[in-house]
Amino acid sequence: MRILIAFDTHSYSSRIVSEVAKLAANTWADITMLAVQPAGSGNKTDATLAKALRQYRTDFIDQFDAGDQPYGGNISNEEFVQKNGAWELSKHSPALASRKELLLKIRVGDPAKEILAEAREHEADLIVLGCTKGLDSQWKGEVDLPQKIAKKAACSVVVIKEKKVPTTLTCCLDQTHVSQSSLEMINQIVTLYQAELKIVGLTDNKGTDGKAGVENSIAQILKYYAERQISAWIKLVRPEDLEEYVAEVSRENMVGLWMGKKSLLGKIFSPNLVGKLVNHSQSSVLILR
Amino acid sequence: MNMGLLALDENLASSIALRYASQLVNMLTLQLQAGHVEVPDKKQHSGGTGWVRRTWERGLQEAGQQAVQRLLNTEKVPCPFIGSPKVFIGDRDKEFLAELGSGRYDLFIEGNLNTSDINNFYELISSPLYTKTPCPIMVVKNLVSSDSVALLCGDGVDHQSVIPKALSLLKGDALHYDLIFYRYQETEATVSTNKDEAGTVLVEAEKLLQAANIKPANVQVVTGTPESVAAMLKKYCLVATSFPVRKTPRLELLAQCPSPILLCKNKARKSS
Amino acid sequence: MSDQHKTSILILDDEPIVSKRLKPSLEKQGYEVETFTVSSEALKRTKERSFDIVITDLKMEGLNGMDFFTEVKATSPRTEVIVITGFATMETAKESFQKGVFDFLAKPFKISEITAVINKAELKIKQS
Repeated sequence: MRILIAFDTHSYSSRIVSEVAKLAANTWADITMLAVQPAGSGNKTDATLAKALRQYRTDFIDQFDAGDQPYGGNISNEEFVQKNGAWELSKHSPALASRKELLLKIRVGDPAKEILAEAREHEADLIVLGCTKGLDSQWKGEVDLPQKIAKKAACSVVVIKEKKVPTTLTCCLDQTHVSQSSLEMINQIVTLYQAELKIVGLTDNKGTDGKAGVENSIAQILKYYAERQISAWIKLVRPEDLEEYVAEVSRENMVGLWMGKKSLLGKIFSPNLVGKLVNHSQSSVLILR
Repeated sequence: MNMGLLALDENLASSIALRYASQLVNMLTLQLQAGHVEVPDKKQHSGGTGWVRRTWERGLQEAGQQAVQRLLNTEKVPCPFIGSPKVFIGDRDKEFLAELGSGRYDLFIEGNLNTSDINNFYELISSPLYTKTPCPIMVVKNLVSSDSVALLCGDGVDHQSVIPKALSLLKGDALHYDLIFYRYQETEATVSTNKDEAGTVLVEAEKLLQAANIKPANVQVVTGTPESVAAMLKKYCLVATSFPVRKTPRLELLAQCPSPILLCKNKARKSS
Repeated sequence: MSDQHKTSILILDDEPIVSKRLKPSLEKQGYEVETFTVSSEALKRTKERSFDIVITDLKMEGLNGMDFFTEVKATSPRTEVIVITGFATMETAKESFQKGVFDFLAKPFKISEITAVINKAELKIKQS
């Protein structure tokens, strides 16, 4: 698993370091810590961003017990190296007991485009980013960046607005097409937070196999979790109630929305469902693909 | 030993109910009979007499047996039944009522999915099966693996009849009990207060438990909206109360409650 | 790659989809692959013959992945073990490495990711 963490220099970015470190401690994922500097800043790294990334890396490593992390030691002597129009700093060396990669990277250009490009080029499984609390969800002064990433990324995305341990992960799944990797991502998040899992299915879903098809698919998902000793609650929601239901649940707990290419959720609901969810959520949002 | 009739159809609700029932038989002194009603399609031929009708009925019987068997094969849950599943043909409510009317059963169990549309629950509660049932009904909405039962009082619950009935069905040492008096109020979060807030209800209810050598873990008045209190109730493997007869906050609470519900009858009151 | 020198891989995961994804891809790359969904059957097979690489899930019914690969390492210390898990915890990661696994991959992972790990394990086997 590769996790891409998008950082800027605001406090919400430093808040997410410990959250991602917990996920990394569980999964030993390869990590890319990415920052984006504006074009036209000359042929050098933005000193503030570079310093911030180094600090995030130190804070990240500090979350592990000494000797219990797979990402190698400190990088005080290493410098960013220019590579394909971006700057990179990595100490990945299996021989030096850094089994997993922890790459610092600064790209140049439009933040949303560069984050999406990095995720695509390095086949990230998950993008994590923080943003401001409240209804406008700003990132680096841009009001809609978290929404853009959540809507356009090809992989799963977690937007963390507030550091809060969710007790329940409510997942709205399109029962007909939900991907195996989405189920696996749900498993990792549920394990990470020791959270309860609530599976929300749609009733009377046009374009599916009807009621029996919907129920059969949920039964398969439920069986999958039952066999893995994970208790999952089932809630069926009418399509017309979904937006309101999601808004209500997201005030208290983490919501996961399956928005893969084949997802009917994305097709039959307001195209701005993801945007609304990111804006209205009080804590964290998981977009599954 | 109590005897329960477990309604099985080939659907998600039954799959959850079957898994839940398999947990129950390990916790309670309960035996189960599986039952299924094969509802003839309106277009299907149901007329005729003699051989024609017997052949038609045998076809439906076989279809019903196969549906139940497919469910059991899919779920692969160890749930010992008394005998083979009984298959009835006709109207679901009428057939189950007739079977329950035999007097063999202490409990009827069926699955019913938790939905965002509370009217579904209203319709269920006001159906002939629920209004005319001779025994308590357990509505399984989710598979909950806890050992705590909420005995829910207040708002039209005759605790003097409901609590002894619920305890007689839940016999065994595996369960722990909380006594809860529900009070509706538009508050952001639920508020729990002392049992005295419920007047004499909880004091009397506690005595009923003591008479059965049971000490409840918690005795409290819980105030809040149906939504917020329903969310609180999800920690219980069962919420036992009486059949709601009117659209009240308790009925809405039960509609929203994600946990399985045991509905017992209030003592019949003499009409004045 | 001739049959004589084919690197042998055993995959154990109770989710059939994992083996279904991995087997054809690895065979195409010249590996000899056997797949199992039941740990006791996989264990029986490892007693019959040794494998160069064992890929195993952790959370399974019956004998769990941790016990399975501990047994495998006891029988065949030269076998390199790669753990894949859908329910990763800090403890399982640490314990896996303490027990000598070659690498630990959390699900979801891409075929390219596990192939890279297999290549590294293969290199280690050849160097030893």
